[in-house]
Amino acid sequence: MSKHRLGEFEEVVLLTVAILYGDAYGITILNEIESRLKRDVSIGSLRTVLSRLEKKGYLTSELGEPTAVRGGKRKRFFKVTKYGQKALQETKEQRQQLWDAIPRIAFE
Amino acid sequence: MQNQKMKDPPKWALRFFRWFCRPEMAEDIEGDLMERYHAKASEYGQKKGKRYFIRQVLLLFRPGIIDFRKLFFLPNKGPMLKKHLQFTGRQLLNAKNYAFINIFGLAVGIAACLLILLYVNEEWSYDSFHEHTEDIYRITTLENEDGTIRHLANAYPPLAPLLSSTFPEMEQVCRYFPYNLSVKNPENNLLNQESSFFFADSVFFELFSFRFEQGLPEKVLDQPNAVVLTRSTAQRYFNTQNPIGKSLLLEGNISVQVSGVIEDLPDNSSLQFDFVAAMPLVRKVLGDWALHPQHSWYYPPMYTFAKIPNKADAERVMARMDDFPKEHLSARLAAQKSFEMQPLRKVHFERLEGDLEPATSASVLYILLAVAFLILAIGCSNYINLALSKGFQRLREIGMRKVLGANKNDILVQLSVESFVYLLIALLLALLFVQITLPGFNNIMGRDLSLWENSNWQLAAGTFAVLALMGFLNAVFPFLAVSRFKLTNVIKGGQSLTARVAGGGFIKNGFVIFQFVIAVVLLVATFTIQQQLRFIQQKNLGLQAEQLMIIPIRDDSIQNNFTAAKEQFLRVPGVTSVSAISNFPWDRGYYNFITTISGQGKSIEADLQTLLVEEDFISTMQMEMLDGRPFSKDFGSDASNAFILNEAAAKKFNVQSLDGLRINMSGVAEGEPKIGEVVGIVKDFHLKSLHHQMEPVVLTVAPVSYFLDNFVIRLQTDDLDQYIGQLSEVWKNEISERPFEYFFLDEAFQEFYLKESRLAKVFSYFAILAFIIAALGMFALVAYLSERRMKEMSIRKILGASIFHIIGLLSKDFLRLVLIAILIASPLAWLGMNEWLKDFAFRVDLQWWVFVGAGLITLSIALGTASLRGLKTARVNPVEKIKQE
Repeated sequence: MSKHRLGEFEEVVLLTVAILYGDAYGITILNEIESRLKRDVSIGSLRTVLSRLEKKGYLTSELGEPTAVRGGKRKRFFKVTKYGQKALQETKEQRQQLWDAIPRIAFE
Repeated sequence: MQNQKMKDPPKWALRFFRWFCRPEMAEDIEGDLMERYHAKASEYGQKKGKRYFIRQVLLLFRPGIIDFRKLFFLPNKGPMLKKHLQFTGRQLLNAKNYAFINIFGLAVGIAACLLILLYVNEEWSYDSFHEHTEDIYRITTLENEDGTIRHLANAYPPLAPLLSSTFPEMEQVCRYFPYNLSVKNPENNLLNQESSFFFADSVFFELFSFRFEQGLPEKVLDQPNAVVLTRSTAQRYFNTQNPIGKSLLLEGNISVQVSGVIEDLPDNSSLQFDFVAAMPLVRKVLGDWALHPQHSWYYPPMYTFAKIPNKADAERVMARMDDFPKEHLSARLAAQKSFEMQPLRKVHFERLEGDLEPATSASVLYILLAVAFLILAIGCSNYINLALSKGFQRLREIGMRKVLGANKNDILVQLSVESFVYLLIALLLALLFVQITLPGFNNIMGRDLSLWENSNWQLAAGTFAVLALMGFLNAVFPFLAVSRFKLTNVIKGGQSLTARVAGGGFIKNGFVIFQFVIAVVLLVATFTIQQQLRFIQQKNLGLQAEQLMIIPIRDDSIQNNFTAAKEQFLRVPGVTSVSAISNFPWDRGYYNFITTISGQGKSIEADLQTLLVEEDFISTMQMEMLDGRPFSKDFGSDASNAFILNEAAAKKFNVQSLDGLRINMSGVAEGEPKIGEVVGIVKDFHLKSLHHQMEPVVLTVAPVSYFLDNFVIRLQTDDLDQYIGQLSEVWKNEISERPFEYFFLDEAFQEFYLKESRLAKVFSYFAILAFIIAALGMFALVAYLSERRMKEMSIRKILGASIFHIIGLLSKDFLRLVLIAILIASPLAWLGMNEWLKDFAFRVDLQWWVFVGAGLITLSIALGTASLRGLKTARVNPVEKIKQE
């Protein structure tokens, strides 16, 4: 049993943060998920997942510079930690194991 | 993007977001929101952008993002809250009397209110548990008897089939017939007279949603010999055995089979029964005529209900109900009967003739509610009053807080915390009071209420809402009063301040007057109700109701052997006389026959109320003859040709003498009318409650024993119990196998006035409560006042004022207020009680001394309270007080 257990949405968010390396804050993450997965996500649900992942140690965050279009508010940039990377890796391996275990005949 | 006219997102949404969001997340989320909003707005336009923004804010309102401390208005300054609590504690201990009066008064008010609400809540929930409650109507009958209209709760057997064929809107029509019969379990020979036995149509349990333990509601009454029992009835007859399929014997020879068991009926059901049997059984019990479409228009009474699922349909049916008799009944019946539809929810609140369960009049509920809220209001006004007075005393404290940096909000919070803590303690105390007094209250009201029931959640929610509001108001009043003052003035204190403080008297006086008005009204009400009850007790009923035992006769075999049974009873020592009567008019009214009075040159046909009796009736009841003689066996022919009028009937027909006065009564015997002469006039007697006017009644000896439905037995003994035992032995051994049932006439009479005696008790307790709370409030006010005027009083004392003088000075103002209260309360009470007394045909007049008495009691309580505290002030050594400073 692995100690990492990622929810489906958690996994998506974590992966997206990794994709956007260096430029991952609320809006870019939202846009990325929307364009890649055609999936509607609310700011609220995204933000709760982000802070949950941060609390678990998979993500770190820091505040950026304020911009005019944001009403003078700063962005919060997220970054995947080593620990988070490991969690993603493990999830992927688990999936792979499951895939490998499917007898060929099942999908014919 | 660069559009200058780009508007900001809705302000309120942003403000809402800023309010609930956790501070550590607020900045970046708000940035995200704004960025997204601008992107959406420039892509899809302002409107959509705004909508998007609002939706996102609402979606952000979720755990994980909400700052819950803010949500519950907790001051985010935790330590400050602790300080507030600490201060509250100190205030409480510092002025124990004041706190006690506040909390106790409130607690009593809340408790009284809760008790009443519990009761009213239960009353209002009557019959609400049926799934189709709102769609069910009872069909009631208006019987036109010679111009007087009786409104009966029931209809008769042929109506239901007629209704369902006439009105397709009626989805189901169901009748039930309540009867009193003997039930026997043939296996263990358990035999009981059952008074709550229903015969009902098979849709009964589909229409009414009683909860089943065994059996299917749609099926249980399908078999023509089926019977359904309640849980506890099943236990009574079959103990722990499974009752399904078991047989019971009705009236000794009709076998029925148990097909279902339902849970015991809820208290708030206006249908109360132990058995429900299939309708066809009525034929076996009463005879084949019982359900005959022509022959059963007068008996048996069938309570008839219809389900109309659509409100508009129901109204249409109601409108057509007026023409229904004309179109579907014979001309003779149509002239006598018309029908009305009564919603099931109203059944409990409108008393009709023949209703099986006592109704509660809605006005009584409103009166009780009003009284409960007034008591609560007294408690509250105490609180506000004292808080106001205290608030002025605490001006300096509040001023000091302000100097040390507290802003307005902090002071409001401080006052609110204090008020809520007090309220909370009061609430707990109130719950304790309710718990303690509930059994007694249940006893008075004849209910089985309990505080901890699921159905009370609305009540609980309501209570908390009211308390929250009270807590807030209790804080806001003093706050507003206090915040009027300038900080510098407050700190300096001094003359101007005291002068202005004294100006706040208007509200204070208003509250005192209000409290005593309520107290006086309640007191007058209590006195008057009790006076009326005493009047009823002492009223000469025209008969001796004490030691008069009634034994219902439910069997024609007993009726046929009436004389023998009478002989048996007379042999029991202590029984001085035995007779019989057809029926007691209080529940089903009198018999009515077409009667003609003739002689002395006139002839009047009338529909006279008739009592059918046995020869010794008048002497057994110890009624008084005004003229002529009572019935007597000595005349031999009294059974066939004698009549006696009561005083009211004699007055109605203007009878001066009995000479040649003859009566012709048709319908009472088979075939021939009964013709005979009036042999006497009996003094008016009351067999109905004193709510009713005296009606003209004619008495005659029952021509056939079939009419004799009750033994009337006069006992003359100090030891009733022993003779009841002997009578029961005689019954069992000589007269019938039926169970021995009896009641005493005076006890039956008591039940007429149950409502009034309950009201009297409730009012007297509430009057006492009102006085206690009002007196407590007054005590505290006098205390506060005397403290403030301590120095003045001390100087007066030194200059030679007597103790009485000082007490007078302190209480003078209050006594004036109490006098005003009495003046306001008296006409109010007079109007109210006059209205109440109108219920009674026989009633006391409102006495002037009741008002004077209530006034005097109020004054002396007020004076006593005031001087109790005044005395303390007056006896203080003046030197002590003056040398301070």
